[in-house]
Amino acid sequence: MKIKSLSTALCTLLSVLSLSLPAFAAGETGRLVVQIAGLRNDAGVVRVALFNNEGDYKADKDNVGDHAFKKDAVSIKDKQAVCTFSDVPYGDYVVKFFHDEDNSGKFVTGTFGIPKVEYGFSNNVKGLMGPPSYDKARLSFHQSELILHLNSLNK
Amino acid sequence: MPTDSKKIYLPIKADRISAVIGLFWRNFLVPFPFVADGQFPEVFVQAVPSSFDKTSYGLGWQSQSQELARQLLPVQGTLPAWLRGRLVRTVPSLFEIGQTKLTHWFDGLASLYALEFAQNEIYCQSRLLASQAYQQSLRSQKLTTAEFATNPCLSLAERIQAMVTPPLTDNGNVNVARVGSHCIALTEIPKFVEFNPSTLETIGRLKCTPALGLTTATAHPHIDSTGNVLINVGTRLGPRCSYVVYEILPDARQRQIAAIAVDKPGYIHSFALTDNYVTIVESPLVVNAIELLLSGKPYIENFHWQPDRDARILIVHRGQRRLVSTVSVPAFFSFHHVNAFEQAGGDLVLDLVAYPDAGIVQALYLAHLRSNQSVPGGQLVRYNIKIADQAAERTLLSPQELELPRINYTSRNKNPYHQVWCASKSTGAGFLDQLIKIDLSNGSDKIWMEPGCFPGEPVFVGEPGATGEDRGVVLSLVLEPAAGRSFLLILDAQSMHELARAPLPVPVPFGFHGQFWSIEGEKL
Repeated sequence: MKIKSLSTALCTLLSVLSLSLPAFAAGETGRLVVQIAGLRNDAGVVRVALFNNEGDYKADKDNVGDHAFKKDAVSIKDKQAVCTFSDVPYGDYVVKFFHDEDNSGKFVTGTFGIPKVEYGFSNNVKGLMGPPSYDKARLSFHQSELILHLNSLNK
Repeated sequence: MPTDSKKIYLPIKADRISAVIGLFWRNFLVPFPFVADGQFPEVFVQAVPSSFDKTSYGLGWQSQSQELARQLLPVQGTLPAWLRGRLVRTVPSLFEIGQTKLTHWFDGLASLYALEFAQNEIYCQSRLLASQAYQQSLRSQKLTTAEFATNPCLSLAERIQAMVTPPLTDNGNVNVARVGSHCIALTEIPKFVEFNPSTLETIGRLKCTPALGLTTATAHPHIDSTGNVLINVGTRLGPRCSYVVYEILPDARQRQIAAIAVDKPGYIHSFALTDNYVTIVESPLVVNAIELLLSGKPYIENFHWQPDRDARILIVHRGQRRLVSTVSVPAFFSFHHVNAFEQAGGDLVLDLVAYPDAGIVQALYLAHLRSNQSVPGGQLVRYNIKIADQAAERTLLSPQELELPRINYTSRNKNPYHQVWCASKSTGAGFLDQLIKIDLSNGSDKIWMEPGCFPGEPVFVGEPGATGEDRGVVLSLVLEPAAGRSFLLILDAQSMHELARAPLPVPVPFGFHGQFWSIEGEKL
């Protein structure tokens, strides 16, 4: 009897608490829309990778996003590309992209490892002698939908 | 010499080694300029912060005295064919007058900016508002009027005269509005400066009669459902102080609706309107009128935060022309009301942007802003008010830090609504650096963000004939410090996706409010 009363009280308490919670607390995933502007042409695709931890970000040595939390390749129209990641849990992320003009799937570099392709990162940051640190490129994602406008570098 | 305005080029000739280093680093550090015709390349440094810098917004509070002649802006993207009209914004623009350095964002002498949308083109122009405050200051090369947080530089004789006739400002740097066919720039003193919306030329003071004896009035008047009458709230400061609800008719006649006696008036920046009620929020940032007269301190410094006082929600019945309810709630501060509407059973819903205290007023001093220290954002909150019970319950509507709220005013002001657009702060940002749309029906939000950019107030413009609350566009002037300029951003109001942008040739200082007006019948 006591247990029944207790469980009833607990249920009531939980119901009250859940009702009093604001609506925004209910959803813990959202949509991240990456809009990339300033590409030099409409050839090929833009490959976009989303990293959710520093280890995977650093492990992505060939820059093609094999270690990414999510990745996608999107077409280009009017020198712009839009990539949408759905059901992204709230948290910190780094976005990395490059313009794969010949659809080779490779992040092409030249002498001294200097990128030959257009590329970019969240926060529109650049690195010194390589990609920027995870912390510099990290963005905080805590909304139903974030439309992130990024610019291509190395045009 | 390269002419890229983003960089300062140092006149240092580089030797071969530095040229090689430049070649090596060009893709990872900063773009390296190569000069034709056998000249040595020049070493340069970037004069503006990198786009990553979330505190690079100090440019938004630098004086901008340049007036823009009407000019066509380049448009990147596609404008909706239906978008025709003019966005007029007033912006605190001059922060130094002769030797006088203004101290607060709210002090800056105003410039008007107009962005005209016509036949898939955008034209831009700007002019300094030739208010009396501006003209007198220009003549005497010092501040001659009492601004929000800066006192005028007065001679002894002027000081004595000021005790009889305080030199209150008409510097309309907060908002613009229409009284009948008159376009006016507003500050928080009821002195309206009329201007020509198509040329932005200042016409002069719009005298509203009879004078109601107001010392202050909000720069956020509401438009009555007829579309012709402005409703506003002012304050009489004197031996007997009162809040005054009043209306301004199209012919600039004023009529008092109600007066509410008050011992220590609060700082009132805006209010809410419903069909039957005017709702005034009095935060415990209050002033003693005698102190204001005698202290010699700038206007806002006479207001004191009294945390032991509650905030009061004063509800005035428009038909009965009297205060019908006073609801005490725990202390908070607010600049901006979002909306209010009546519910069955006598309940009133009031939404506003709230702060725990008046620290935000301090945070908007220029010294604070220019030092790139963080500015707190407000919270979108709702008060469900039971008028008869004099009780209210508060709910947080969004976890985001935000300000400068706008709604689909034409169809939803005074009515139940679901969509709010604001400028907001991303995590770790010092100032408003993104635009947010909040759906109040489920708490979801959509955010537009471009790293290194700082958008201003998002003005909603509804698509003609459309019934959806969010069918239209959102217009925002965005400061892009790394580019050394601002751009006008046009977002789809529903999806918050960018439709187009139009770079301006100059950086536009951060402003507060603007309105989108029809240009029917005007020749562009």
